[in-house]
Amino acid sequence: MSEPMKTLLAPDRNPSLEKYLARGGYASYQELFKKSPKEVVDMVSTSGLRGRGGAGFPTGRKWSFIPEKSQRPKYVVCNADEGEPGTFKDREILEGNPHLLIEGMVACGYAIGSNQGYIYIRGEFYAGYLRCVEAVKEARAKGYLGQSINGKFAFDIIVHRGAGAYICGEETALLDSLEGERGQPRLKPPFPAVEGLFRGPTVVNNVETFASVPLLLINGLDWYKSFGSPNNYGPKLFAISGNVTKPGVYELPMGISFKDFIYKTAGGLPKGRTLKAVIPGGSSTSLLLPKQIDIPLDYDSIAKAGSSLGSAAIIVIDDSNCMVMTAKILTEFYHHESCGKCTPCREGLSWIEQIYHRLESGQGKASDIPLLLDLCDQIVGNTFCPLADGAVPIIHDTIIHFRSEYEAHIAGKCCEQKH
Amino acid sequence: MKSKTVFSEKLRADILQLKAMYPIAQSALIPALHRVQEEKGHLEPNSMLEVAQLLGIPPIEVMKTGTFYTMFHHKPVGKYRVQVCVNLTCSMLGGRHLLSHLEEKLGIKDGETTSDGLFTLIGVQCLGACHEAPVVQINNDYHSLVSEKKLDTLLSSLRSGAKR
Repeated sequence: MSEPMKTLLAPDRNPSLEKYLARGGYASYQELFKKSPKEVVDMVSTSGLRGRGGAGFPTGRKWSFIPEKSQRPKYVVCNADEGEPGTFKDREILEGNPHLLIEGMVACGYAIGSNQGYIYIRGEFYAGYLRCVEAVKEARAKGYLGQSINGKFAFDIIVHRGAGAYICGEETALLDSLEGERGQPRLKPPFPAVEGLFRGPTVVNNVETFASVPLLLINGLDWYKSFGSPNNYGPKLFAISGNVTKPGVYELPMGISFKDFIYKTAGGLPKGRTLKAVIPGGSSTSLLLPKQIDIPLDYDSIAKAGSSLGSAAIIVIDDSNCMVMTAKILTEFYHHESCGKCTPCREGLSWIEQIYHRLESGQGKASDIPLLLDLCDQIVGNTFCPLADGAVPIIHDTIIHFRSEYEAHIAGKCCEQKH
Repeated sequence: MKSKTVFSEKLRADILQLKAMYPIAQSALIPALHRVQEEKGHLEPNSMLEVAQLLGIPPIEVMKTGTFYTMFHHKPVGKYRVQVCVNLTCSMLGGRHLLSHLEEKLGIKDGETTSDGLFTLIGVQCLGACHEAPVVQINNDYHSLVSEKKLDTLLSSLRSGAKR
């Protein structure tokens, strides 16, 4: 066998099962079944792996919440509802390296004592859906899934398509959707670890989180911790888009220079343009200004700078963009995706959207700026789930840092930019 | 209850097969609605009633779920659903101009269908392919780095394909 697998992205995108096996695919099972389930949970905890979906919650701790004994079956659910604007990293695994995801879900099933997994994939990702369905069949045919994996363990996966709803990325909304309901967040507690899918104890993890586990099992803790710094370990996928010359998904060690990532790895801005702001972790995270990006790219450094690494989706915004219109576009998105359950989100975002449309058409009033800030205040922390909290940063931050652009809009002088 | 079937034998069998995959029948609802839409184009009330009957769940549950998700259509749609991303990265790189271009070219507004039943134009939210912005999804296929010219060529090839 060649070198053990060390990357989340397949070097030969979308390899056949044969090619995947030839470069060490499914080798993690040997390490997995040498350990007790508890040892697997402990290893994931010790690795410091944090959820790659957006919240950055420690994965091992999430797994440890699953009760050992349960009257109802336990479940492993993969959140492949990648929909946070700017985020397109999981698609690379779903379409380009699905067997790594299967390996990771089997490891989780073994660790928590579950025999059934579900991949909930957003409806728009049809190619990824077909690829995952095929990969599950291939794995079953070779005994990497099914009744007797390595003669030790039974686990199977169903690939389930969503039908267009950003909110289903929220784990309890996802579970409701998987049960055939409207995707609306559930009241917590009980948390999914206690009462999740079909009321059984459930782990819900992001695609990249599961895919990280086989690499950890094969290469060990020392290797895993050789990337990044304490509390921020591991290889990681970063998606970068917007005004850069080489947008894409990059697999890098956590903690590389944020500035170098934009200016070197991603090729920098288009010629003649200067940086205006960066959204570091998907559209729900706070803006960082050019003077704030001379930091390592990891969870804690971005948090210290006042934002969040979120889903590691970096949107680079240059000086050709009007920040009022930027906030308008994202407000339209959040309003469109509000599930309608909570009043502050449903009504608040609708109101805010109307104000932006007013500003866009030159009908804005001076009182609109404090009104927007007041509405933001009334939304944050007053809803069931984080959707509306995620809608606020772009509104708040563009007012705080680019107030003159709002004033220009109100004076009927701003940008010619119409979106 | 006597009810008239609007589904083919194959479609009924597929839905019952989906039902058997899950511990609860309603989990098969979204996959079943996808399957119905694949065959019928959109979800008519009669179709939703038949799904309810096959899954053994109340019709209201089918209606509740069926009307929540943006990918389910309740009115006839065109042979090609042209879905233009209007979210941030795509808009920064011209996505919304593509939508206006198509509105003008096809003579319809966002959400409408051309009178020949060929194209439905839909402005959609982030499709998760921002490095290829602006992105347009036609039915299930993604098209990346789309320009007005590329879009025009694409549409005319679909149009001539549809005539054949």
